[in-house]
Amino acid sequence: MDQLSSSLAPPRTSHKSPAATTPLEGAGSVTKRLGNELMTLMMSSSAGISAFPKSDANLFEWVGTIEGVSGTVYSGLTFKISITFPPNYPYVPPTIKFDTPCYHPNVDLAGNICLDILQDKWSAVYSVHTVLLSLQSLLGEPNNASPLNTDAANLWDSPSEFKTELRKHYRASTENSN
Amino acid sequence: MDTAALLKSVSDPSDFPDEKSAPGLRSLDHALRCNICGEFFDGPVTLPCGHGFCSLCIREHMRQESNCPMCRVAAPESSLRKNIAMEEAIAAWTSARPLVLRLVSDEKKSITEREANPSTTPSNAVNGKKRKWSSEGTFTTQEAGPSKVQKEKPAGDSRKNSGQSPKSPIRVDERDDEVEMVNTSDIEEADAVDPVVNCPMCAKSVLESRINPHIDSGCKIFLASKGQNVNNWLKIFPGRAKGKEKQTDDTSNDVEPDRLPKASYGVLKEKKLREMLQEHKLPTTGDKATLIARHQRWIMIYNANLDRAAKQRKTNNELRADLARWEETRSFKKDQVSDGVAYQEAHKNEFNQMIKDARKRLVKKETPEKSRSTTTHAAPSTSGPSNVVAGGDDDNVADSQDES
Ligand SMILES: [Zn+2]
Ligand SMILES: [Zn+2]
Ligand SMILES: [Zn+2]
Repeated sequence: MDQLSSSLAPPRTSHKSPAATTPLEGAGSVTKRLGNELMTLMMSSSAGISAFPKSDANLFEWVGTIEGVSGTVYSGLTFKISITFPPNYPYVPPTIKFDTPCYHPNVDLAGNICLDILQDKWSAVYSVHTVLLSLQSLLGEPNNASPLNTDAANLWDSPSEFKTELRKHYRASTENSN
Repeated sequence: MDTAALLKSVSDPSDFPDEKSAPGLRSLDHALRCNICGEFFDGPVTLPCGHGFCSLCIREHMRQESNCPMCRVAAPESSLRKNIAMEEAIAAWTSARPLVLRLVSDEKKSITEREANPSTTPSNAVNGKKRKWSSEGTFTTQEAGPSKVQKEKPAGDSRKNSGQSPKSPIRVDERDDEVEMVNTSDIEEADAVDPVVNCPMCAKSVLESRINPHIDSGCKIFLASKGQNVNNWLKIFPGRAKGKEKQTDDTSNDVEPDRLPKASYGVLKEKKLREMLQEHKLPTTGDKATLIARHQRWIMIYNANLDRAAKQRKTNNELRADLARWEETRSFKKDQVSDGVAYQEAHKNEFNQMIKDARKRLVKKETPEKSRSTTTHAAPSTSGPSNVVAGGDDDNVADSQDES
């Protein structure tokens, strides 16, 4: 082992040599792309968003968190989300759902999200990072023209009432520790 | 593969310090990468809008939409053009990258040392360390003078924790624990009795006697070192290096190979599909959907390979190994299996056959002459986007071996 590193290490030291990678990697490998995304997320300093694989057993299931931006009704709240990658990711968008109930015009009670870049406006160059940032800004700037939750959409213009409803949903989830 | 291993395998612009401490390096590393896969462009192609991607990445995208994923301007697959200059830039950058990372790390370290210990002559500290780095490639503390031993130890630790390239040096150390490598010189001696073959699953070099346990391990253990790849593949595909001699494999001829036409699968019977796969020496197992997916992917991999410069191109066997990995990833997801074992089991016979074929070729071919300049990039790598990186690596290794 020592001998090997002495003869080979200089060229190998500074980048990740493919020799150490697993057979899952390949041209256009989903796994590889997910690795790149994870690295970007970990190295980026975007406040209030994070995501990581749920377990080592399945790298296609991630959990993430989104914190509400201060100055919005969601300020101070943290939402858990689940991210599921299809086998042909990134050519097909990931499935993203709120695990923490999120009272929001574009989120239904089951946590499904209506966001164009997660549907027909998806592009293979988008990433978890860009999606989480979009979701974070969607919280404060809903698209009330096409609501999934019409009650929330109708209540949006009355911030204090909206906040009460939002807290009610949010608290219910944290108390019932699911 | 677990998350830690995954992260270790990732090469990323953030390997370099931020713009402030090393202007341009991080953005250079970023500019040479495909926005679909995040790796250095592999067979870079340009669209009419000017955006570029790996050939395979954009072809896969264009199965669904004929446009640019960046700007959505319409672009049919026929409008793709190779970007030769980009490919050359990447080949150069990937071979320079390790050195640049090392220099950056040295620079950072000498600054830290100077700050921590102004009495140490800076140049000495740097040179002493450089010698260490180039001889062993890993940072150790022994060679420095006695007075410095105490000082360098914490510095070595801090490199891991706060160094500007936190991932790369650490990964090597950790990886060495996990992957059993075979010493290069051992292989060289053992070569005649125990030749190195390339695993049909992962395309890496493995001693022939170890190929089965290697595959059983999920391609994790019994890897022969990479420097060996060059010579080994020369034995299997001796003509490839020159691009002139007769080939055992049908990829490389003097004539630029034609692209494969797409098939319309709707009307095809399973029997015909199997024949089409057989024609390209591909496995014929699975249901109709699997056969179609395999054939479709093969066409794409094959055509994308032609967007690589001739010397960068993979052999058909390497492409087949890529295809096998691709299928493994798909089945991994489909069956919710935590690794590729099931897939490997299912296809073991076919892969064993491929190994046997490789051995036959190995026996038939005499050891070919080494041809460094033309072979370095013919060395197999794991696959895909990392191909270029591996080429650069093998380059270095081959050079040092030949010169010593
Ligand atoms: Zn790509
Ligand atoms: Zn474009
Ligand atoms: Zn030209």
